Amino acid sequence: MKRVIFFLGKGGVGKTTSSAALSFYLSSQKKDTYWVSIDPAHNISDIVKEDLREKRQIEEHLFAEEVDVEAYLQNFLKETTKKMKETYKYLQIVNLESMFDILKHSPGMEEYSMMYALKEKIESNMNNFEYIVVDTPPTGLMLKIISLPFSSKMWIEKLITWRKKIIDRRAAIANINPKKIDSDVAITEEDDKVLKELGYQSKHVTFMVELLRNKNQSKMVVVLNEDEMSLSESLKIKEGLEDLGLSLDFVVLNKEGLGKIKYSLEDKFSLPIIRMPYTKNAMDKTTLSNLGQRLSVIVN
Amino acid sequence: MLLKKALKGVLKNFGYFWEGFKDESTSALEMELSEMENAFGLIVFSSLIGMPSPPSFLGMALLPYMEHEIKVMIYKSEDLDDKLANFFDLSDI
Repeated sequence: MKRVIFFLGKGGVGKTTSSAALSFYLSSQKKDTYWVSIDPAHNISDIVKEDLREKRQIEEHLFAEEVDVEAYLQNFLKETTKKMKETYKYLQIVNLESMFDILKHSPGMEEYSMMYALKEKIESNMNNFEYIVVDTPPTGLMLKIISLPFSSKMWIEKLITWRKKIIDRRAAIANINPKKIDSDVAITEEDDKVLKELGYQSKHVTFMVELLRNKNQSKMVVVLNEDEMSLSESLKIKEGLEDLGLSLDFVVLNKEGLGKIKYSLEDKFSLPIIRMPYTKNAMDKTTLSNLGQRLSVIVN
Repeated sequence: MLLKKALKGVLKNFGYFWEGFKDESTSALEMELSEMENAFGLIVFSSLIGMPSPPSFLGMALLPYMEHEIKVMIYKSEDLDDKLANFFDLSDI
């Protein structure tokens, strides 16, 4: 894989159209491209006019998919329930599924399943495609998804350090007086399931953190229109990314000519600005591919 | 015969002493361990009791493996109303 391109921005500014334009352009240049949407309100099937719940080849060099985030969440809860049942045998009689069902509404669970889905889609496709183009949910949600691996990594690292201290104390006590430690409690790092799970989770988040930090591999593109609201939200994205030590790479001014803004975008962002004119036929593949030519600077 | 019996008695008592020393030597460590396990449990599940917490998915992912810590938390919470006794116990008074 050469590059992952994330299209960010306010709802309705044209993230899907821009990601479509780049994907069709890359495909027309015979570059193997995987175009994926993690927005719960998917739109890419509207352009392709095909069911994209499974990864599907839509052009010779282009595959597209709309990720079913809800399915990832359900799967995570199902796996946890299964592990709970295996560990706590006496819970067999309780209807755990219905109890866990409510947990999917806990704060942060949706972001987690999106982060996990994104990570899995990128990881499983990175060896088969040159470019991965990601259509994302609107600003607020996407910033949370991007920040989740960073905050999780910090928590996981602290918990691992703490857990190792606990194992160390257990081993010290067991060494002097084995009777004092229950036989089903782990006294080595290798046997401790909590540490194993933390290591497993750490792998997920580290993959995402490294991918997002690698400036040669991932490109962040913000899409905006000529209106104050999308401009101020794009500036919030810029700040949000900078807080995480990340940065925007390109600004796409979509539907140029439809509105007016008082400021110079070059001054506001200090980044390359790609201008895409308003087009009436934004669902047509050839039109999109022609528009995408303007975005080719992102992949050069 | 009498000497053998006496020696046996001494050895038996010595065994009790030995066990006592071992218990004594680990009691502070055990107390520290249970505090650490209790705090680890509280941190991991803190979103359930309204404290700043790691992301919920982490608590969910670790939940199946934390039976022991949950037991320690429950045991600790039973003693929360008598911290003075806890302190005397820890100080061996």
